[in-house]
Amino acid sequence: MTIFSTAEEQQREPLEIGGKVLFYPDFALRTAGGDVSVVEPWKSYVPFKIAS
Amino acid sequence: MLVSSGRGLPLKDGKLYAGAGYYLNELTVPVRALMKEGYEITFANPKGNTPQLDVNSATPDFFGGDEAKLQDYLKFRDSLTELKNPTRISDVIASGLDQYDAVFVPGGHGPMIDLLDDPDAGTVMRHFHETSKPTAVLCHGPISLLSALPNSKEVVAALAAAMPPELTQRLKAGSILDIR
Repeated sequence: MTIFSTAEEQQREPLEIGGKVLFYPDFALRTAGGDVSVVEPWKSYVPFKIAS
Repeated sequence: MLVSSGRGLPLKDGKLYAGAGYYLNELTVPVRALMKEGYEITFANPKGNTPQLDVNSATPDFFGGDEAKLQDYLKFRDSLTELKNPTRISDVIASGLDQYDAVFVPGGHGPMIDLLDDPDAGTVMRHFHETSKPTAVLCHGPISLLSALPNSKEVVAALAAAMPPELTQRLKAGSILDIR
């Protein structure tokens, strides 16, 4: 499963929702005992070549 | 597929995000793919009301910058009559959860309004976990897993009130969420 990370939410808050959420989803799941891993945002794992 | 019944996500400082709902791409892309594979989709939410589209999700940005693709998926969304008239989650439970192959919760901020501590959503989540059937949650969808806690309303209230860590710890001690 994937989850919207705190870093992503904080990026979108001013642009999209016009305020700050009461709590962040990954923090909430951690607080409830969940094992949540956050990896680098926007990182592509698809190899590609740039044509010269 | 579980979606929100909510209208407006409470924010800090008494603000409200009125545009909260499901993200168009997160709902329609998987639904179209599943339907193409022959699956029948049941849309369900707590109140049985029409779920709200997140106002920020109907843009070409989320469809590869392709306006035509956005329009195609909007048209597809409009064809989903069951999405306009979803079943109450309680009715889905009453009809028997064993008939379903999987549960999916798309994102958008909708699940943060009501699915996170909805008792019926919790029943659904526990059923699919206990029967080892797929549970797929995306973006803000995972917050709905909190509903599986026996004291989800207390936990969510503590989170919303920014309770002191020690109180949160006490709540946590009585309800461990096991995500595998």
